[in-house]
Amino acid sequence: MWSPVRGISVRASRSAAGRCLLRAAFVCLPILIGSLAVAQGLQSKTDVQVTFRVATQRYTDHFSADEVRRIEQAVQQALVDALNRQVTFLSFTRDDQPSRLAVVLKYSDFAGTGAGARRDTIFRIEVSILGQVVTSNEDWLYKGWTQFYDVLSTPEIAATEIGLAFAKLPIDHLVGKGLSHIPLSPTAHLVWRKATQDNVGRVAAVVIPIPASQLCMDDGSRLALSSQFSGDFGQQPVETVVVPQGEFRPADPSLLPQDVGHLFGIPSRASPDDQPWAVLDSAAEDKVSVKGIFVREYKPIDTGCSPVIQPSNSGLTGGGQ
Amino acid sequence: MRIMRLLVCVLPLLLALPARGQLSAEEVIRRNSQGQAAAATAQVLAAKSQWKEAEAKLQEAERQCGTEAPTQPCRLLLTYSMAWVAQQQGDTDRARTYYQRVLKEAPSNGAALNNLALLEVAAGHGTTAEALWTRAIDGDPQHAGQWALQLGEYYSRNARYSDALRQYQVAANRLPDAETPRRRIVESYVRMPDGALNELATQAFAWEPLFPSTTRIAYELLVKRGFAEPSSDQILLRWISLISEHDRVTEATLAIVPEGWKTGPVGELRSYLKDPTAPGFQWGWWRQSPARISGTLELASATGKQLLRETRDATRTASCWESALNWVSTPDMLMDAHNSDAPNTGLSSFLDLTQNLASLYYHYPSLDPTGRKLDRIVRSLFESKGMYISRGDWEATQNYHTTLALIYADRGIWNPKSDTFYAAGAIFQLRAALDDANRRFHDPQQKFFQPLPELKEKLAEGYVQTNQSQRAAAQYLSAAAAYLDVDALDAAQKTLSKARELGSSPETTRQLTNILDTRQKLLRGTPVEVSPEKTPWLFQPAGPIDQEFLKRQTFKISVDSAISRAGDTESAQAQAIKAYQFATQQQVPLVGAGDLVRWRRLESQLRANTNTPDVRRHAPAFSEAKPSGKSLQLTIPGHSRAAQVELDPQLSKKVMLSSAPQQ
Repeated sequence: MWSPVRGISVRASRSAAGRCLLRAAFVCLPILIGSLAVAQGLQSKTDVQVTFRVATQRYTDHFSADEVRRIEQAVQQALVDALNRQVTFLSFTRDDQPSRLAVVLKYSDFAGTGAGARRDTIFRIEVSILGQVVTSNEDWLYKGWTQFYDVLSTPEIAATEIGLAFAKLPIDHLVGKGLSHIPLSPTAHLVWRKATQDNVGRVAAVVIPIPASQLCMDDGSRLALSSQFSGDFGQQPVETVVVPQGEFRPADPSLLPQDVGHLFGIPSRASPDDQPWAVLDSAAEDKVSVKGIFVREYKPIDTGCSPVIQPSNSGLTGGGQ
Repeated sequence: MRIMRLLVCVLPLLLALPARGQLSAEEVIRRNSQGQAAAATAQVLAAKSQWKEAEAKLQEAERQCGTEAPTQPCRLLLTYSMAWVAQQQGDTDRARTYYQRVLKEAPSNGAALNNLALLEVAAGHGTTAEALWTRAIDGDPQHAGQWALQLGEYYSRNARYSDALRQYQVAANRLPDAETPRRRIVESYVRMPDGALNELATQAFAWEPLFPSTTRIAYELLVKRGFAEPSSDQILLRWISLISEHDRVTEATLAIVPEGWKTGPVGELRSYLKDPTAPGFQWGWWRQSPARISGTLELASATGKQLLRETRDATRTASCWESALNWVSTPDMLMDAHNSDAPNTGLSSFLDLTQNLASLYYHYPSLDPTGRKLDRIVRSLFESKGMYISRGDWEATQNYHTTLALIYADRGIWNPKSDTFYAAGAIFQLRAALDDANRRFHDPQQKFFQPLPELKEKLAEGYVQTNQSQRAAAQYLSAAAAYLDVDALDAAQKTLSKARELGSSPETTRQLTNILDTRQKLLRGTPVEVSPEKTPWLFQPAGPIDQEFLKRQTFKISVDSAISRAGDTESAQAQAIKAYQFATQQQVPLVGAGDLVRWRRLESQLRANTNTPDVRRHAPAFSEAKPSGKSLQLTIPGHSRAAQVELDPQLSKKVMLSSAPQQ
């Protein structure tokens, strides 16, 4: 959704050295926009390599090694397509990338097995970053033991059949147990607001340098801002919850032109999320550095990411919407 | 629809051309295509904030469009694009002028009405915006859901939550596959602290199968608000079941429950979750109806699996499941939980628990050294099965028979031991499971075809093990036919060989061999002409090879043949049309992913040859619910009931009207 930032006046800070006071239409409180992140330019979504491997004896016994490879390639593509359609805050590809989602079709360990040889088949998911596994999970059930006509035939049919499981991905599970470990962005702009009474800065908003229309993130989603600040005892990490708000559209778009249209969020100051924010707020603005933004919960918009309809979807092209 | 509307507008103009000095049809197409390309380029430039370049591109293209009537689509698109570019730059006045120009010529263009409405909202003209969205909803019914959603957003931003809710309801009705309007409905209720929640409760029940994530949010809102209407028990029950199915119920889950709400059942849940392995745990409230017992079984099933995964402690897991099975002390306890319109999840949980516990005993013999525990499980299965048999619930009895069959087969008990019950063997249970499946196929309410080749082959194996070679031969033939149904040709060949070795009926064996050979040839790319003369074995039902089986094989062979003739366009098209007409007229059930692939290819081939656009390309491959339009039934692994593949009405009409050209 697009929720313009309104009712504020902002003070934008491009660097510690240069700051200028800017006023927006509805004006009330002074806000300090700290460019604490390194990059300023438009950033694209994080690319994630998707791999798929078959590790069930049922398949490896039935198909030759070459056929298994063909199944894996076809399913890998089906999975990439399904993820790109349904999980739009990351960009999924088959190509090598530092972030990787590895999905393995395997029998579950003992749990959920039927008597004898028939067993539950599951999709094991594993997320790794730069070769380091950061999380893995085996809760995504593909087929329970009660299936009795899932006979294997050709590699094409087997791949299609597995692909049917991706028609509606278990997004809450995939994000919660896997993709939430991949940074949505390594950087973010913190917008600081100066409280009138004690002149102490407080984070008012977080702008992620990716167009909101690309991320398609609806209300109910939750982000985690991972940051670090120099405290009395050295560098201290802190993770805070951010509630995405849609496109960053300050009342005066000339204020931060490079950020207009990007996703922005506000600190979740509802208990218990407010405690880490209190820690961050107590730190001086120039001592905080952003380490990354992560998606903890994802609620996609499945009716079109932007309310403004683009020409290609206007129905005037002869191609329909 | 839009394309059709455009064609209706443009076609007469095209047909009237070219008269003196007027544009030729080719020229009109060329200019309209140029306009589309320019609009696309402008969109890309705008994305890079290259506004001036985008505008220049559009203006140049507009000049090239010309002013003649047939190039109206080109001009409309470019004007729309200019409006959009202006809107992106925040130039409200220019954008408004352009959109109004579009709407003068295309007054019900929903996209232009929507974008203009957004502009008016930003300019503070809410009433005007409201009227524009209302016009879009009325004038562009195909996208009314989208415009209703936007109007709902407008109302919501203005704290008019009841109005917003009404629009979100329209959007949800018009967009049956979309989760967003449903999430908005829940959010609207969140913002209306005093709103009546009855309607939300009713809707949430209906959303559960398709939108579990939003349904959970809805249930949690109802729980947090201490919903006190008669359906509140159902809310608590469904909430716990939904979490058990997709996640894990913990004591923290229950933290949202307000004090004083359902204290009895919530208190019991809290006690259970403290130690799910405690033997002899007894439910009170949760024991008072079959649906509630089902909920506890689902909870125990999920909790036990999680426990085993996390701790690998088989003893505690067995204790969790044994305790849960003890809750079902009499066979009728689960009975009313089964609503015939929905799969019996309670029974599935019960059987799942039973099977898993049997499996646990099998893998950890120390848990049941004398086998008495397993005997008790089997006895309980027999007891509860009888009730479902008397009700004629063949879906339930099929699950029971299959569970028992596997327990016996895996222990090599094909026939009952001398001192046991006549049904206490794998052969009896396998036959019963196959009979149940057959009843479900012939039940006019279900017509659910299940090939079940593995069960059929297992039964044949049972006959071999018990020296009943004649029965084994016939059963292997039946398994071979089922393997042909699921496109497992290698397995079909193997079972046919086994049947032959055991002296199976020569006629049936020959007929199945002919079908298998034909299908193997097709795999190698050799097309086949399906006719009583060329493929008589597809037209002679006899013995175990019935008309229904031959219909399914005819469909597979016809489609594979049409696809293998792709180089020979005319003959391929003729066969594709025949296959399509055959499948739809005979209502051939599609079996497995193989037939789904066939159907997609068949449609794709027919679309290409009839110039029919693929309007359903983003639609799901199949649906659980019966669609409003025509459909074919689909049996797929993982689904306990038939799914439906919706036909593309446009393609269907074209194909059904066309007669297959002579080959």
